[in-house]
Amino acid sequence: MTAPNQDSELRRKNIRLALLLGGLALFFLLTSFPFWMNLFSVAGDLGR
Amino acid sequence: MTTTTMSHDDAHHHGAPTGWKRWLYSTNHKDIGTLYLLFALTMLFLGGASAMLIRAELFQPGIQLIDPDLYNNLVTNHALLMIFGAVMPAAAGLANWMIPLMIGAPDMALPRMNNLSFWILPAAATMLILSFVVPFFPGGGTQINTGWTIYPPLSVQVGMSMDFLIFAIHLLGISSILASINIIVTLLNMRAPGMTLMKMPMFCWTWLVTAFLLILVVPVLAGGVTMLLFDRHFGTSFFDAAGGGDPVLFQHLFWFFGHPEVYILLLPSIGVLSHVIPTFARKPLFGYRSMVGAMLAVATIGMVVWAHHQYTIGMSLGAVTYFMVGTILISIPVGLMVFNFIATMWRGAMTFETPMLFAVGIILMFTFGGLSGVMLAVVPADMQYHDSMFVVAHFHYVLMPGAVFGLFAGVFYWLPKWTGNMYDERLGKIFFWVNVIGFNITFFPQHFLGLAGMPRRIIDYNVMFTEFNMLSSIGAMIFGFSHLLFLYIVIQTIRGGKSLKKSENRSWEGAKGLEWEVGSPPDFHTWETAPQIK
Repeated sequence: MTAPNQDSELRRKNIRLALLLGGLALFFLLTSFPFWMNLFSVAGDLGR
Repeated sequence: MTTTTMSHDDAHHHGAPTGWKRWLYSTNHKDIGTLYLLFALTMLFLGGASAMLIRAELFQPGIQLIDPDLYNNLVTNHALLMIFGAVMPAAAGLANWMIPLMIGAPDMALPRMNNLSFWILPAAATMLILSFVVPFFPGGGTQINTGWTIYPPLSVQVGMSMDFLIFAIHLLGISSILASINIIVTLLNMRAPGMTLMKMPMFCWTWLVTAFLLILVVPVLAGGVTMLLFDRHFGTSFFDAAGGGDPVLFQHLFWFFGHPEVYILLLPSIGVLSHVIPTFARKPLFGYRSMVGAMLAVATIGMVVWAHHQYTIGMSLGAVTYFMVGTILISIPVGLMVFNFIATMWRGAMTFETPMLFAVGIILMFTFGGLSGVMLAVVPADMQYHDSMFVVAHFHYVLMPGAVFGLFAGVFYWLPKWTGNMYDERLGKIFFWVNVIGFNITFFPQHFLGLAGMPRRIIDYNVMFTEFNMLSSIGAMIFGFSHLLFLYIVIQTIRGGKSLKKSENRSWEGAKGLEWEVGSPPDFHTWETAPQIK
């Protein structure tokens, strides 16, 4: 461990914000293209 | 900004760990910053070597040194290595080194994630280099000949090297997003007491905006290349017209990332300039608030004008008009930034050390690149310039001065702080002049080549283009080899020695900010006790 320790309150706050930002990135990944819709239709075609 | 510096030096000191574990397991922002910078330097030389090979081939018409497939491969890899391997990691290196020092934080907010962000990069670089090398092996498939834009349908037809590239892009994207999250959290949660957002150093502001841009646009690229992967291997037809898909969809996804990427590359360098110019003009930055506003405007407008890269795909008149007007609008906030830099210099007690030489060079050459950008933004004109050498000249005038020279300015500006040694100013100035002259000899003639009709990304050309190409190639050799001098200066400064002066804590007379309150070089741990900002 080569970074100074953070107090637990700050650490929680940091992780909370990081998760929020990660969620934002994930949201953009999932919603910015018709990927899933097409994937589902492909999956449906394969099943037929 | 006035500060009351509380003593941090008398706090307990941990020595730096030694050996390879120091670097592999490091969670220290300075060590990780150094790793980023070393990685970027390595990639700069690899990307530079491919560029020099391209220019050597183009010295004369006809096919001289390499075959056309390899030429296309080099064009692809040059761009990818420079953008994802050199410029972005170098900017991340500066951010890692400087942001905690500038805001009075002991480290980045998420140090372990910081370690992960960096160590994904060598894996990504390996994949990237494999995409270049694999076709040389038996069964390795065709060379990667798409250019960095990897447009389908060509990118669906290329051999397995494209799969390596797609995974490299995924890894690079993950690394960028993790680093961006870390930077945003650090800037929002770890600032010293009293440092409001509007007291934050401009370099931090530029990185805050850059990090948000990365989080918003990199996932879209990841989505695009994932669809490409599915089209290649799983029978989908996202980009295949024969299967009901549309290859233009990929272009939209790519440029939704690709255009903000330009600002991702530029903004950290604008941040560097916002420190270098006030230091060497010995005046505070003119128009801090307007600078922040301009930056936010650039980022916002920059996200909604991507299709100016695709005027020739046959969009509706309304759409091209919107993208044209939006693109031209960006020149207003960018012009405001340039105005603020000039106003900062106005009647300042200026001196021209190497970082300042780069800063002035950036303002002149980046503005020139911006002007040719306005030309390209105009739809009927762009129909003529599209895919010509004029475009190559334009984006090199934007990205070399706007991004790379800014990073050089930052390295020369902060190198004395990082190493405790003042670099050789005479060599620094020689590097600047050789580099800038080499750059202009390389890229200025390419405007004329493009206007005369020479397309980009071709290995052979009409004999009428010979003279300007020869000139451009001579410039490229000067420009390329000049970076060996940069490497020498950096190594010499790190090693120290009798010929070099020791740097004081405040390496430059006019420098202001928390980073200059700590030692040169800074202790392994800094700001363990947060400073109070008044």
